[in-house]
Amino acid sequence: MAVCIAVIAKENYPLYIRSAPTENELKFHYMVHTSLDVVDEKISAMGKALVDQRELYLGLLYPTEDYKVYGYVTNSKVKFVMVVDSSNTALRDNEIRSMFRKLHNSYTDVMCNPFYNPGDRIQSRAFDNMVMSMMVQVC
Amino acid sequence: MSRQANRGTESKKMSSELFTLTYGALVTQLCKDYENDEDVNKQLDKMGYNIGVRLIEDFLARSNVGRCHDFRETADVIAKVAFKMYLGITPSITNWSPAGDEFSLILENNPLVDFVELPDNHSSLIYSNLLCGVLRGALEMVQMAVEAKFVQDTLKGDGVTEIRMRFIRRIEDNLPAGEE
Amino acid sequence: MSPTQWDFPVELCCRPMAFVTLTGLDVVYNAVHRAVWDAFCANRRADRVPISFKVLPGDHEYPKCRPKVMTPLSLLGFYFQGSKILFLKTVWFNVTLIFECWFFLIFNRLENAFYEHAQTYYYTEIRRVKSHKEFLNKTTHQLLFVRHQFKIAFFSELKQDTQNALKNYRTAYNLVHELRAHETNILEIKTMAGFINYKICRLCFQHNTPLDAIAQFRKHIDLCKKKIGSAELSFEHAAWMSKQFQAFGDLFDEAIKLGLTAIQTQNPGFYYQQAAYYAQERKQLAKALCNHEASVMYPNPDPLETQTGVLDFYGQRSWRQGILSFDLSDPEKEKVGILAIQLKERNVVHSEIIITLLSNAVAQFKKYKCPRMKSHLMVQMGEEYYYAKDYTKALKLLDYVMCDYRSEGWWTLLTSILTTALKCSYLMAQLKDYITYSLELLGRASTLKDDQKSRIEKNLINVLMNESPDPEPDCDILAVKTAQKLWSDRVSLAGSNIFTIGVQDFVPFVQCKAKFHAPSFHVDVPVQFDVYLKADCPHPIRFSKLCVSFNNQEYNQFCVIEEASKASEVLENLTQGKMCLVPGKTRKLSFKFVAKTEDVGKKIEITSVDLALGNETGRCVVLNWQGGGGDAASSQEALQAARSFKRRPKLPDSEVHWDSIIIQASTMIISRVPNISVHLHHEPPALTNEMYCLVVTVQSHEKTQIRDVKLTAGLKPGQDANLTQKTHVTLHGSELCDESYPALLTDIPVGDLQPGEQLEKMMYVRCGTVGSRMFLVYVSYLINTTVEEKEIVCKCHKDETVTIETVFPFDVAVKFVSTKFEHLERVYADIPFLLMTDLLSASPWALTIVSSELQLAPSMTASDQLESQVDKVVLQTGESASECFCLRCPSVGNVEGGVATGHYIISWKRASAMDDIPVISTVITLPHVIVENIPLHVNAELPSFGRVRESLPVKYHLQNKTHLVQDVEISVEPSDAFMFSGLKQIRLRILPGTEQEMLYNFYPLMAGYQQLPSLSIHLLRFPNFTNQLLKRFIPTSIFVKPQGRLMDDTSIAAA
Repeated sequence: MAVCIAVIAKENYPLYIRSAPTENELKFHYMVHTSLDVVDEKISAMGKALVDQRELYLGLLYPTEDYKVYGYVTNSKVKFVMVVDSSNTALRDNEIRSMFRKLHNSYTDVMCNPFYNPGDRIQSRAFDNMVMSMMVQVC
Repeated sequence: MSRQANRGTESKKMSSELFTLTYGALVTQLCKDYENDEDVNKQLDKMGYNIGVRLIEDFLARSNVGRCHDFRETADVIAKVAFKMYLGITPSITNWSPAGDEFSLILENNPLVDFVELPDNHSSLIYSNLLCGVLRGALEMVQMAVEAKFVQDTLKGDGVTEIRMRFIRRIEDNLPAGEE
Repeated sequence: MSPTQWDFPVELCCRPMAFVTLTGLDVVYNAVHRAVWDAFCANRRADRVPISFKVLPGDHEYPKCRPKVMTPLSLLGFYFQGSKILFLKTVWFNVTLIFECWFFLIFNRLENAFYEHAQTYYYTEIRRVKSHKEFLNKTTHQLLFVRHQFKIAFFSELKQDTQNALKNYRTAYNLVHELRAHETNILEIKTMAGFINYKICRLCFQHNTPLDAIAQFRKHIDLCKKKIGSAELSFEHAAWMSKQFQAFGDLFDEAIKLGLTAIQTQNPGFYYQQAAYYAQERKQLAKALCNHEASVMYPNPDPLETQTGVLDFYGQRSWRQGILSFDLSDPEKEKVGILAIQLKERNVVHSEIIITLLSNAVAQFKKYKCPRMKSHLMVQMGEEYYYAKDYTKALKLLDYVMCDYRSEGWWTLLTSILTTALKCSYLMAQLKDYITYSLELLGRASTLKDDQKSRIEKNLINVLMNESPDPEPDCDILAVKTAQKLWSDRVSLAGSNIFTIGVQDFVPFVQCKAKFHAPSFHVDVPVQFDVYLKADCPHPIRFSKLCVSFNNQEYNQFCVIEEASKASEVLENLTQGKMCLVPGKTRKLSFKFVAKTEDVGKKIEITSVDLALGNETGRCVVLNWQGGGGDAASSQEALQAARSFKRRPKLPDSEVHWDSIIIQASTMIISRVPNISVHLHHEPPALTNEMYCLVVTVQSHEKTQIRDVKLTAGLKPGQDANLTQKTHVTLHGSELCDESYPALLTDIPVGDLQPGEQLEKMMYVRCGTVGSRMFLVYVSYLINTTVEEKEIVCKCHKDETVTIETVFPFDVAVKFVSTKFEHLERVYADIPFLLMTDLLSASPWALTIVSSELQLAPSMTASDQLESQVDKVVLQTGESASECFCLRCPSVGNVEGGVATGHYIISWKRASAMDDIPVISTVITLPHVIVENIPLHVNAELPSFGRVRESLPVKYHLQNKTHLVQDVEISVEPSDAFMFSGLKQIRLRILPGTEQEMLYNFYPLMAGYQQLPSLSIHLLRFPNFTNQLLKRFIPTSIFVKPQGRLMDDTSIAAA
């Protein structure tokens, strides 16, 4: 369960950000934005090394005291960033990976909607529902 | 001539995503070009009609079905053979009118609308209206004048997609309906 | 910063070294003693034994060792006084006698001796402590265990045995956390844990195992995070946490300075950042907990005071030092103590601490390529400055980072930063900044809700009307009061009321797009363009002036819209008038002006658009766009709009969609469309070197007179350089143009033309080479026209291009033949031969050969007159004219490549050319000829025909062409057709250079073309000189007429 999920365009502006409702939304926005430093660095490192280019999952970007930030980048340079509570030790790496895959699939569906203009903010209800299902539910 | 040889069971495979995206691009372009959704609906119906009058030949040659004796048989052929052949789905037939001249086709899923989400400003758009035109045009070529329209649509929030087909009359041979 | 309660003791932080004091040295007055002292303590390089030296006076009183308290009363008994480690005995030597020379010899040995002695001492101490441990057990003496472990570890450090030291520190650390913790002692436990953790981390870094250090620190934080202690003093916990992170960050940084490499995701920046975070927590908690009313007095006596001025034991409370029990014996004292601490905390300048930590973090992240993290921290710093009421510094930082967030399109974050910046500028009453931030907060990128935007818009309008704005919400009350005074000062100030703000680089609430109607305009058509404006603020807003500036400033005056409106009218009549912008609607303002003649061929560019809000009587803000408009977000928006399939709702005719407008900020001024016709008449193809005539006809179809008509004609520039050199143009056909004539004649004045009038000009072109040439005829003129009631002079031009082919007029073939018209490979010296020229006309036009001339080379001579035989001959296409010249060449030596013959010059012109057209001379270089010497030349003299039975005298001339006497044998072959008299066979001798004649009389017997008796000649000296060759010079047959009959008159008449 994530506390914040974001989709970032290849020009680095946010296409979609959703965070757990009770938290200070700005804090997560900053967190996602600053994580792009690490994403950029990883992407450029990937480009130089002859690593399997299809490896989209970037793994843990950086830990803060209370949260862990994970990243994923598609071949079209769209980035997904997920923030997870540090205390949630139950969440293992392969679960995170599968969450990203789900995100990627939903994002592809959004792109296939003929009424969606790529580059616009994502307003798809289906995408929203999928993201909500992966977020921490706060009553 | 080469078509005859290929008829039968082999249907050429094409990516369903390509088909869906093509149809989507078509609808959005129409939306951009026409001022309101009603015009778009009409245009889709027209285009579908033009497809239907031609597609019927292909259908009859490939499926080898004989002449239908009544509207019920027609319904069966449409749902079980035609939809299966061209869209890979088999809608169910329900809601027969007492006189036997109206029925509904229920589509659990509609390949035309994969990934589609209608934006709020297109509430009166009948996205898959092409299908209605196709049905109308195809049946006209076999001497049946019918009306087809969508009464339920998953895109608008309904649980299923429902097309209502109504038999109007038999067309006499020497009065061609003519293309629009 | 002065050391605070939370800093680690300096003794902890320095590197432990053996401590040796020297007494009895007078380092002030005794030079020798001074020298000794210097030798010990100066330049203590790393390779010298680690000893710390100190001089003590000889009468120094050494402190007594404190009695060792074995009971659990003392908790963790180390405390440091100054730089003296009390629980170590000093090792001291009494150096009274020093002999300079041998002193330095034994110097090293002295040092080593000191060191070894120290080592032994410490080792003994360790053993002593360890032996003490045997008397302790964990349950009752838990506290002492820690102390002992620490001591052992510390002694090991002094001994420079860092591995052992590390091992013991770790044990000590674990023991600390096994202690029973209670609210009353938790600070002490944390303090100790903090010290020991520091030591462990430091040693790990020293041992080059940074991962161990990080792991230890992580463990330390995890264990201590929740040990908050007293709720009323929870800010202390935050302070302590902050300190831990800061200290670790410092250790990390120090290790890096000594060579450790850090990476983007693991560097001291994170630790400083977290330290700052806890410092912020501390501030928040302090604000909540220490918010006592002013009436609350600081307790007297001061519970935080101690006898010695410092605590006996670190981490304990000053009013209950040395107490072991968890229970509070005196709750009242406790309350007073807590109050004191809280009141003391109020004096702490939290912001300063936070800012320093953030600043350190920023420096680190800059180093490790984390630009966004850096920006985020700078935002935090800005916000701290704001809380610290240093608005200037806050604004500087916030302003600096805004563009990062703007360029990456993170509007939520940008809005938050702008909101703080607006507060700062409000509190400082800094007009320009206040207005600038308001402009953006009202715009489309701002994520504020409408009610917030309304408030800001209202404030902005107030400012424009020279009134004070309402305070920003959530500001400090005192600061607001100050601000209000500042604002009212501003209001009363008269000056500096116009602000120009360049809006290109941010996202203001008004958008501007300027568009010329076309990318180019003819100079006689008024230039038109529109300026589109769109407001995104919640309520309609009025502007007072719009001006557009151009690269040619003369046009500026035509592009101004102004409405004189009183300041009070700004709010009234908002939706009326073209000066009013209604949110969401696109306003179009049209302009028109006439281009200047001097701008023809140039671009007119909009350099800026200025939109003024407010007016001169109140305050005026001028929004300035560079170029034709656009701002920081417009290019991305335009891109998205271009791709979009969104239907644009139909608008009334006068309105346009904002997205469909594309900026066109420049237009080209092109010359007026000419209204003349230019015709060229000529008869292609041209013949090389002829004066080819081109007739240019210009007719004016203008309605008024055109003046200063100029003609430029000739080879179109830009073609092959060779063509340029071989093309010549002139207006005067009667002269033959030579190489000096240009290929292009420019700006030939031809006068004025009335409407409908026509003029004709003849042009002559001479092309020296064959091929295709493009010719240009360019006519320019001036005409007066009226545009928008202004009279302007337009320069118009029209051109025509024509391609002219040039071909050779004729082909000349030259051949050498013998006098018998037989082809000659070579000529023979001094023997006449014939030069035959053949002129084949290749011209489609009839050519007149005016004359021809043979210019012989000096080595050639003509046998007779060199008259032209083709004078005035007219050749049609395909016809040929031939000439024949008899030449001879005297004997020359062996000339390589043959002898030059000379030149054949043909003078000609087109048959259709007029008389005044000059004649063209084409020079053909004749081929070289090989000249061979022959010893003997024979030529015959005989009549042109014979008659049967009539005597035919034939004289043969034999010439000896050599310098030697030649023996010649001659014989005559009889022929059936002839009888002859003469020598049948003879041997002759011919002297050099002389001639011998042989006379024969042939008597033809038959009519017809008869073979003459052939002459056979042999040269005895030249046996190879064949007969065949000689025979070439003499005729071999002759026509014999039949015998004539006498004719009578009657037969003639009948015939």
